[in-house]
Amino acid sequence: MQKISRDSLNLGLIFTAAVLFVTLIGMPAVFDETAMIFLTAESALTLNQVMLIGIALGAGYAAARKQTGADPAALALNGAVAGGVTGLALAVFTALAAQVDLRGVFVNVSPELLNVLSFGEPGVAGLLILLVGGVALGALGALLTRLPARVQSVGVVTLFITLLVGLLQSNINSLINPADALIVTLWVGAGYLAAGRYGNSSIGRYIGALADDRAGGMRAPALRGLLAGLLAGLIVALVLLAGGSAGLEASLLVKGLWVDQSTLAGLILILVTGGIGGLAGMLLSVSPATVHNMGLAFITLLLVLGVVYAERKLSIVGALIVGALIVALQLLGRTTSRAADARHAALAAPQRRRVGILNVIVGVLILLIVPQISNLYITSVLDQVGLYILMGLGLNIVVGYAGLLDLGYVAFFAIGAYATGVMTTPNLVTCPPPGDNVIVMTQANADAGYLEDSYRALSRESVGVVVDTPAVYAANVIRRTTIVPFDSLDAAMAALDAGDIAAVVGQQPELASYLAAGSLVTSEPFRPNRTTWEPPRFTETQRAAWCGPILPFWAAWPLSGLIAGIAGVLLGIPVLRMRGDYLAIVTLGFGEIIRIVTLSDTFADYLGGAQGVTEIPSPVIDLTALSGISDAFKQPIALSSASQVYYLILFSVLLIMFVANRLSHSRLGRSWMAMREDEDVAQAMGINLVNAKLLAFSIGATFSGIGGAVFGSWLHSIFPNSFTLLVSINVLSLIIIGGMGSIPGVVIGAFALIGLPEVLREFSDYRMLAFGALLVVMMLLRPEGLLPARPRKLENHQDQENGTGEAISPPQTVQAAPPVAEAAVEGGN
Amino acid sequence: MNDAQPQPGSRLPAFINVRALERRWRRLSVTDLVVWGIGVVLLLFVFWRIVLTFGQGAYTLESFIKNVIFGLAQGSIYALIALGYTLVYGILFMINFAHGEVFMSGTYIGFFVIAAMEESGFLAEQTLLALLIVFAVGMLSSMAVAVTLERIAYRPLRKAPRLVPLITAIGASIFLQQAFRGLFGSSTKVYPHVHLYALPQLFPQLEDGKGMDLISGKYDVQFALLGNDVNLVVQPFIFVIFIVALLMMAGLYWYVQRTKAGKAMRAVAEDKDTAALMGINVDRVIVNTFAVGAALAGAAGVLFALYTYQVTHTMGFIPGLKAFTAAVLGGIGNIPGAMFGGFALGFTESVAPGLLSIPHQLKDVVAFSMLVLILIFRPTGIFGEVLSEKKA
Amino acid sequence: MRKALHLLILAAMCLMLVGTAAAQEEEDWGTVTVAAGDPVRIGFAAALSGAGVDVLGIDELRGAELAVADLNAEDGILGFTVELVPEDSMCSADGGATVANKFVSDESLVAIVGHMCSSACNAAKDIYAPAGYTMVSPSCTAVALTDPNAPSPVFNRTAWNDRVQAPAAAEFLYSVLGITSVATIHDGSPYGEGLVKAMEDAFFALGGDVIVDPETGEGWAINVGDTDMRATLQAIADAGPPGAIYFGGFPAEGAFLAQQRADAGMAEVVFMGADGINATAYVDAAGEAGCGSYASAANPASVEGGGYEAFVERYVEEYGEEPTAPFHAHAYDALMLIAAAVEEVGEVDADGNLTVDRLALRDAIRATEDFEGLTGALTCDEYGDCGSGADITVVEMMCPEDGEPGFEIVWPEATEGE
Repeated sequence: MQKISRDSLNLGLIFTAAVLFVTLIGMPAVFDETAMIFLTAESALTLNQVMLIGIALGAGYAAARKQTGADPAALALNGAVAGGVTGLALAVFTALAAQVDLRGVFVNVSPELLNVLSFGEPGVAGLLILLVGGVALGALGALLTRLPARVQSVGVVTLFITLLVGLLQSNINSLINPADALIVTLWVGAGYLAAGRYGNSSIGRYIGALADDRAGGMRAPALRGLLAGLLAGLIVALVLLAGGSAGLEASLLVKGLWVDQSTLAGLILILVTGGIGGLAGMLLSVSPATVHNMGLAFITLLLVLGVVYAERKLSIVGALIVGALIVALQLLGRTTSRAADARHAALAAPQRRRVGILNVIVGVLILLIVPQISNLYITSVLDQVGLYILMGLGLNIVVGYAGLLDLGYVAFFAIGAYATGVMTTPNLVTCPPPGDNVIVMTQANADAGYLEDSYRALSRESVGVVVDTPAVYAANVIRRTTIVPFDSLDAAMAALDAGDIAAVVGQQPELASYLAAGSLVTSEPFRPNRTTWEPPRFTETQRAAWCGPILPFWAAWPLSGLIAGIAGVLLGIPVLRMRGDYLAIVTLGFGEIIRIVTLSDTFADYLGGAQGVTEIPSPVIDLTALSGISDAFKQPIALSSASQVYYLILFSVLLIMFVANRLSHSRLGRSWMAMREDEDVAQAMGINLVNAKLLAFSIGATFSGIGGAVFGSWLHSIFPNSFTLLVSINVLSLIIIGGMGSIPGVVIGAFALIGLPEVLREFSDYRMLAFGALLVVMMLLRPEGLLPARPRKLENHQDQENGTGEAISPPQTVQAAPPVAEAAVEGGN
Repeated sequence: MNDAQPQPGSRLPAFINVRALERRWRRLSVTDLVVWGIGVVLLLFVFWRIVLTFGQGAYTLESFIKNVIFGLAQGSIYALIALGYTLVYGILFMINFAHGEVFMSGTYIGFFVIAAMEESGFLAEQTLLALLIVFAVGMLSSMAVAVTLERIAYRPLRKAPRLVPLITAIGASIFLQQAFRGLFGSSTKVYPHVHLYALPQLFPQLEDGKGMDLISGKYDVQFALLGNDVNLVVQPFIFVIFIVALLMMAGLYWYVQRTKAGKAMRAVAEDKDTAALMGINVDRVIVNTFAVGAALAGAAGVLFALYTYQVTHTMGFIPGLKAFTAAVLGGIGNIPGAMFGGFALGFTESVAPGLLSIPHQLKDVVAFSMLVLILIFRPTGIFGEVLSEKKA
Repeated sequence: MRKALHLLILAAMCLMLVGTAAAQEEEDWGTVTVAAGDPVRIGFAAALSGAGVDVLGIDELRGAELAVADLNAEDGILGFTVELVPEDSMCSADGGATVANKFVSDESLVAIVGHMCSSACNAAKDIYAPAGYTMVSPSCTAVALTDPNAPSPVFNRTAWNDRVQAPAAAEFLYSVLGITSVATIHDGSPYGEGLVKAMEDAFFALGGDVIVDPETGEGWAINVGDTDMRATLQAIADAGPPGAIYFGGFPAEGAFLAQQRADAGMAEVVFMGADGINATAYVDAAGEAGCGSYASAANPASVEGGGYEAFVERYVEEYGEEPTAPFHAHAYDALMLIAAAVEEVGEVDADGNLTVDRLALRDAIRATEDFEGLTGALTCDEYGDCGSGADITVVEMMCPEDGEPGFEIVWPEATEGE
């Protein structure tokens, strides 16, 4: 009788705790409505079933991994025990919860939850399913460990991605239709095969000779790729000419190129795009392994999106196809990437640089067309990721390079946003709120007592009170009212036209003459206890006359970056002598100070207070001067929607990444890194700590200020509750998750930190719960970050140096750097 | 430069060490001057505002005393939470963002117990015993949460760079908040109004002979001070919290300084690897630290709820932040420092806006400016000794 | 240096491309077609996560879900079942924009119930406008949203306009209770601050005095999440003491203020809030100190069949706890308003597909007259304010010895005498 080890019992208990926690929270009931894979028209594999099966399989798998022996029967038994314990616990809970009303304490233990748990079967039958299911799945999970490691890893990745596609199907089911995906793959594939693999086939040598490319350079593969692309383009064109199948008509790409133009122009356009596709395929075949795999993954993504588009949802057939594609990607990826890497290494140095540059160009081209093919939601998420990349790059300098832990980084983002908002919005500083008005009154009315009562009728933000008689009503009855004594009505009107007074509201007949001139707004004669007081309606011309933006966006944007930079210096000075966590708490305090100042009433006149800054105009690109070239530039383009601001953000991200990259290799960058390792040693080496720290703070702040400016103009309004401590923590998390001090790390970190919650939207109520758990799991798996900076990676693994330079698998515990060199807040090692 | 013989007759009093002053003066750099300049400017601003306030004459002695008492209440609460925080912080040098949630979990579980006791009437009869049970439950559940948290989120990362556990702490904090919301719903739970009568002999006239209601009693007190009569509404519970905070600090100080387990903690704080060489089971000491820290947080949570009644799944975030501020203000790892930091924070938030005639909405601005002011002159906190670079 | 050159060229290129992506504003807002058998999908956006605000969002979500349940009980709208699509807009401008963009990318959505926070409403209305999506917010009370000087084509709200709720409160304090001086506190949210400013104007217009902080010339303010407001209350007592304190904010801070005002010697001062504190969370948390405090509430008398009480019972039965915040009824009404408009505007063609013209839907909502909702009879004006028609009543927190403490209507005493 095989021995049931204590480990599998412990594991059973751990997984029982997990399943009970998940149930008490009410996940099964909520997740039962999310369909992952549609097995048949009505029934579908729901997220709840996937979760429960996953837990049972996981229990069995974990139990088997703990076993030393490889005997399948023992493994299966232990797996079954672990799964069985979990299933039993769930069954007992369901039975118990049916009798005892737990809702007093555990709110979500509702009748539907119990119904879902027992799969709709009343009484004992449901409990049996849970128990038998637990045992069977546990055993199955255990047996999975018997599969070879390679099969296991490929299987897990495929299953995970397929389920992810199932989870997101409602978001991605209308992006690229299958015809487009196939055509692009055809073109790129043709170029790839022609340039790479079949280089030395007869045709290949012939073309090589044609291009008299003796030195094994780029010309032969490039030519082959181009020809292959053109050939593929021709095939597509021929199919179209022959009145091809309906599928081709449906393709947007072809329709865009072919149908709208005349046949000849359409033909040429298709050939050209086919050629470009071929060249891209060629490029892929000679680029380094990582870029090669990214290209391959992009093509697979296109195909997967095409599959989901076909049926607008993920059916069982669709799921199998997607799974097959992912398996092919992994198997193909490993072999072909080594070949591509070899070809890349074989290239001469200048060619290799050219390939690098071409890769960057293709990458940016793809980035440029993303908003055209994706919907507004994905573009707005990418916008937010872009803004967080900007902030991440700035904080990466402060924490990643200079090692100064900054927990109040959102302050500079807020300063940038408010600076641009105030400078470009007309209604704040430049002109009083619409409620302002002035009461003009004759002595007769004053004697009749209207004066004192009409003050009360005035709304609180009045600008001045004019009395057209020498008697001045001195008492400042209404707060924030400044009394502007004019000795005559005409003087008051002159002041109005000069814009000193916002408006004049009066009730005298002789005011009528001014009314005609449109320079005056009046409301019907008001009685003191009016409750129907309506603030006067200002015509657009009047508002524009008084209030105008201080600066257009394009001037305010760099200025806000500068203002944020100055604020960075101002924060930097008091903290020069502080280190480590003392620095962290002061910067945290600075962040809170800025948030409360923008929220407070005292500064409400300038910063909008609790009502925030609204009606921020979006940046306008006025190219009417070039209107001769094409009618697209006739009227000025306002970057208001997410897809338009995307390009603004893309431009700033590319620019700032370039600046940050140059900085990290500059003298200043190296002095930061020295300072991060050890301040005292850096000072001993002659690095001026004060300048280095202040520069780090101000450059980091400038990047964040630039991001803030775009944030305000994109959303047309900014409120204090967008600049909380959680934003600073999010930015800090993204640079640590991405990998300290590495620019690609910041990009990956931003995608993880901002993209993940959006992906988890499918979990509805449990979005933040899953996000918190994933944050912990990510850090446990990769302590040094997803894409650590090169020096940091080497430092961490100098004891596991292996010759091939192969990506070093992360050891479970990263070996600590020698204590002496550990800086106050060592950013990474 | 050896020291010249001190000339007889010109000896300054012993405590002014001339050589030390000289050495410090020579080492002053421009940054020190600039930074101290800013400090002085801040101080001048404070004095100017105080003079302005008294100039307007609106600020009465009575409201000053009231603000001081309110500050005492708020300060004791911050001190209680900071004590639990600084223990873990002082040993592991980890900004434990999840401490707020450990504080909340004790309060939340305590609520279910006290609500059940109130319904069954047990709270009314055996108030003291009931309160002790609630405290025990609160501390135990906080300890359970903290130990599990340490086992899952912090232990595997002990060798990782210092900022990595910071992220798992943030993840754990979000997870715990949402877990409690998922389990127990998002509505605000309310602690019952507890009445604990004591010393009827001393206060026969109060509560018709039952003695002073220590917890939810509020009594009018009139007395004359410096010429103007002051009438206050005093809640004895404020002094109860103050005394409990003092007791906890003393107990913790004794535990860390005098007991063997405390010595092990200090050793681990000094250097984990060397401590391990000395035969200290570092893992157990760290778990022990977490447990003691969490117990303090649990007790602070129950007291907090008895004082403010409202319990929600997000109540831990802001107190956790204030505890972090108080712990750093008092000097990292310094137990009396945490206590003092908590009081300094509480007093500033209550007294400063009135005294400096700054609108009360900006009380956190004043509190953090005061923090910057103190850290300018004492870069390692009020009681923080100048630690070796590794620990700062 | 060549790499830099390349990057700059690319940057210029992408700016040129921008030209192609301009979207125009055209009057035709397009139509939504719902195939036979598919559900009518209505989006819902509120803050379902975040300290202090998730309680409000979940409460609104539940109000909307109960409305959908009621609709589907009587076979939905024009025979089509109704499906609610909830999203978390996290009470911030960027959260609101993300959810708005997600809804706009899904053409099957007919209209949106939401958003919850004024910051989210502000960002979302500029995204819904070009796409022609009509939104009805249960709780965005910022005055600027329906400002005639900057009208939004798509924004509507069932939340009460400050200009309706504040004068009613002022009238009650000044005329009924005869209070001559009031001090105001708000919690720094657009809801609280807007309400308090409107209240000051209205009370001042009636002839009462508004006590202000001598330092700023404004009312006082606390922060969301504060637990100790005694110093602020003491400052009010020094400046006043006022006859009444008017608070714009939510139950958590409202209960603290009610309890702690005694510590500043203002135990007898009347404490009044708005609809924000009219919730059981306030009644439980405030305890005895809350007795005698006032709030504003809907007039259930104007709704036959005891709509609100039955609604609360169904709420407790479905979710296992009392309504946690004040806006569930407004969310219920917002959804019912949309449903009524869709029923009025939608046409079912021959083979059972429902088509709804978006512009007609918006106009139908804004033309609503005396719509029977839980929050009273709703009439929408041309700027989207549907809360302006409701008649506001004042409720007092009664603490009977025998029964449970709770809010009861005290003004206007329409039915029984004083």
